[in-house]
Amino acid sequence: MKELTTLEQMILAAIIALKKEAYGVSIRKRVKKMTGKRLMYGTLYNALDQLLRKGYVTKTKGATSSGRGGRPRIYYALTPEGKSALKTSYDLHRAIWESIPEFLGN
Amino acid sequence: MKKPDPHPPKLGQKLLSFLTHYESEYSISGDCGEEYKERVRAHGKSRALVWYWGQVAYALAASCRLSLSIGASMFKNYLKITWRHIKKNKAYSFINIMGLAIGIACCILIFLWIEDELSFDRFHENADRIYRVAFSTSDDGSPTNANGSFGVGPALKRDFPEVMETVRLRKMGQNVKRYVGYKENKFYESRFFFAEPTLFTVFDFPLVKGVPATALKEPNSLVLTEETAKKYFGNEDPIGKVMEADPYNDGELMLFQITGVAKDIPHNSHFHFDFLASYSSLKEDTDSFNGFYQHFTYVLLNNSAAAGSLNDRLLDFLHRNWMEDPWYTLSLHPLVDIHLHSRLKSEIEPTGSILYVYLFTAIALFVLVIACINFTNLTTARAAKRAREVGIRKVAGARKNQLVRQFLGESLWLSLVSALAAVLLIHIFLPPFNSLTGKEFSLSSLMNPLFILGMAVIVMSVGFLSGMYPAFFLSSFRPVNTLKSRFSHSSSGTLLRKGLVIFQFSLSIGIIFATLVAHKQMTHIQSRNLGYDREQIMVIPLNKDLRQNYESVRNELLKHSGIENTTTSALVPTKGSYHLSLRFEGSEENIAQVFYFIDKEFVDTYGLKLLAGRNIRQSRSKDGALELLLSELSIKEAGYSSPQEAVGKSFNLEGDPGTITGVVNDIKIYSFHRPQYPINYLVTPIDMHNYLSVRAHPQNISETIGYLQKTWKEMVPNYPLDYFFLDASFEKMHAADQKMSHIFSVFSILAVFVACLGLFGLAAYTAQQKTKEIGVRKILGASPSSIYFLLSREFLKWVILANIIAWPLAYYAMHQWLQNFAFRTNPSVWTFIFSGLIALGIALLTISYQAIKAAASNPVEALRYE
Repeated sequence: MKELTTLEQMILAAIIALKKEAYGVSIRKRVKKMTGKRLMYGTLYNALDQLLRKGYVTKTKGATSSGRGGRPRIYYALTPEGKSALKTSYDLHRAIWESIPEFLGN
Repeated sequence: MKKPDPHPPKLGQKLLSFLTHYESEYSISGDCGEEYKERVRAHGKSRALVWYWGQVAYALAASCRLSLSIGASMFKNYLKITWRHIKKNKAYSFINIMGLAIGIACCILIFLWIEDELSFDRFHENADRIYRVAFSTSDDGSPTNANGSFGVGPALKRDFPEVMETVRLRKMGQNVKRYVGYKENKFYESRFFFAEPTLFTVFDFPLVKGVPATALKEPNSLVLTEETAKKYFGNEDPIGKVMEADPYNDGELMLFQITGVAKDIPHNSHFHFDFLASYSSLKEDTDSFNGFYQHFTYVLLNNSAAAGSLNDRLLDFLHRNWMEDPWYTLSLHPLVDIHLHSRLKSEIEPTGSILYVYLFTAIALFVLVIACINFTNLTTARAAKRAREVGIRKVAGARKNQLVRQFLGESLWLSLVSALAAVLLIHIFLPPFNSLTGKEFSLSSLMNPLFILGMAVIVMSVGFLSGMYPAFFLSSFRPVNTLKSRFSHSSSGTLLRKGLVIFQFSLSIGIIFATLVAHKQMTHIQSRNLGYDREQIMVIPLNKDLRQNYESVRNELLKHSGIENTTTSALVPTKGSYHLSLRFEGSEENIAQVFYFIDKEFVDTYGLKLLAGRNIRQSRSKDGALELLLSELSIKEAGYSSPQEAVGKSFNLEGDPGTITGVVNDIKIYSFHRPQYPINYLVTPIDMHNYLSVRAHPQNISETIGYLQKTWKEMVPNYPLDYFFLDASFEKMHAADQKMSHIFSVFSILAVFVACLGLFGLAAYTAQQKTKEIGVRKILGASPSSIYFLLSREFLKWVILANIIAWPLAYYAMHQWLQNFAFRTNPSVWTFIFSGLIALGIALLTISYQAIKAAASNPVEALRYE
């Protein structure tokens, strides 16, 4: 299985953190809060597109709220595969960093 | 009160929605809109807008990158395959690329030409609001003359508030040259105008030196163009200098002070001046409504919509300002229409024609379409070659639309390569094209966004047009069939191919036919008898000194054996006409006819044939009656049955009585676009004459000219010698037609050439397909000629069918064109047959190479082929 990119990890983490409130605007804000990075919507949606295709996230159409020009919010949630993929990349990262404790120690 | 919710820009929303794969599955525009609102509240509208557009742009770019990255590897493969195909089938690729390149190059060149034709007079800022007053002497009021009388302009401005400004422009006669001099620089000039000061406010003719508002105000002021200033003054500053000129050609030199230097006039102006004298210097009564002169009136309206309603009120205007029963009527014509739409008499300069714009657009498209057809034909014909590739790709999982995309991509690539080749062709052929059209295009004029856009459109449409059918045709193959056995061509493909070849040849035959008719018409014009000896007549403008001692100059000239006779006259053919009305005996009606004022040697010098009566010798006979010489056409208009009957009859010329002394043949004084005029001749004193005509012996013409120059220097030292030959002047009137006919033949040759390229390819393909058949036939004893016939039979059938389709259409088109000429040939049966034969011959020749090669080949090779 291909590893997740950092961007994908950030987005997946944001979706988990947001629980049921994960949609475009909130994901983007959450990512910024977590990492300080400002995503472009184009980037965000391209990544979400990939995640969706890989089957790591699902989406549900929310109610059409006012102030969105008639566009409904699309809410995202992780699938079990998504969760395990994120877990895998966590394990991978941990393994990498734990192998060089002296680097982190300094 | 609550402020309304801020809305993100509509266009941005549209663009985001345009990325359908975002829109249908996600909600990018909704998200952006939501955050946009927050940002408007937090940071203000402008910062939010910047942010919003940033998001839109990025999303667009990201979306493009995504689809590209997916397609990139496949794309690379397609490109590789395309390139391999080009390399493997060099001949076919060459035919395709060459044909398309020629087609595209033709399109671009003609596009340049058309763009230039359409640009005439548009450089004036007010172009849309400037109109020219056209005069009409026809019964139905349709405009006939570009020129007219003096007084109309100011009266229009006085009567109609819509008319903001008027400009009057006066030229001395049609195509005439007048003396202009400064110190030792003395020339005869043809572009000498008188103009009102408003010329500089209505039109955009910028001055390099001098003040536009005052330059033409005072009498005897003169504005030159930069080029003219250089010609007379070199590097001196011309402002304030005084030039002499003889615009009326009456020997009384007028002095002009130079008050301005104008920028040279752009070539796409419907008139060009070298000299502009102030209108107030004119000697005529400039308020008069009577008479037509080389005098032009332009009006600047306050809005372009006003012209229509103004046109309806112009008759009333004439009643009010002139007379109850005016003999001419007026109408307004848009300035920008003059070049392409004017068919009026007495234009300042020869105009173009919208017909040619249509004709050339058609021919450019024809060449391109023919090239596209080549591509389609060759690709489908050779589909079998690629059937296996299609089969393999399909088996490997390629979907049909992927294959369509592959083949379309291929044709787009070829079209792009052809476009590059076309640019190269244009680079090479631009100079000959310039000399052909008489315009000055450069490659740099191609480097504008409009052209690049046009080029992109051409490349795309050529790619799609020619690749569409092959793409669907090829991608619809069934893999099982293509892989199982040798794939044979389908019948539907052949039918379409036949249809396209026939269509191609119909176009080519049509073009050949048109070229033949145009050529015939041109020869018709050149060989047509004008009624006088145009070959060896030299014409020299008269001046004061020459008029005074004409007799001695004439005697001196006649001493030379190369000079046969000389005459002086007010006008010569090609240089305008005077119209006077006269009443013949036995008629109550005054009819307007052309008058030539001549001396007694005119008939002999010009070689006119006396049909009845005697030549005129003097202005009036002893009893004081005018002596008049008629032409054949004028006796017809007068109602006499024969020249003999007319002789001795009396007439009344605007109150002056006289008798008809003789009748001569008709002569042609204008181009063949205009009808023959009835011409009458009167002898008048030399003071009324403008030209000296010399009939020289055809032999040793250069020596005769040398003698003339020597005599001139001795006897008329104060004036420069300026002369022209009548036949050259006559040809100049048809220069535009000649040019068009040349351009037409060049492009028709190209069209036929491209069509033949395709035929050559198809013939090669057919021969290759039948290699085995030919081998078997030869072994069984078929003669080479029967093989040749076998191969060419089918093509010939197509060409003959194409003839039948092309003839009526081409005939109709050329019939329209010929309506332009008052004197025209009619396409004979032979023109039809000939155009068919030419196409047939070229087709045969093209096929022959392949057919003979096939017929002469060794059957053993052909059969071992398997």
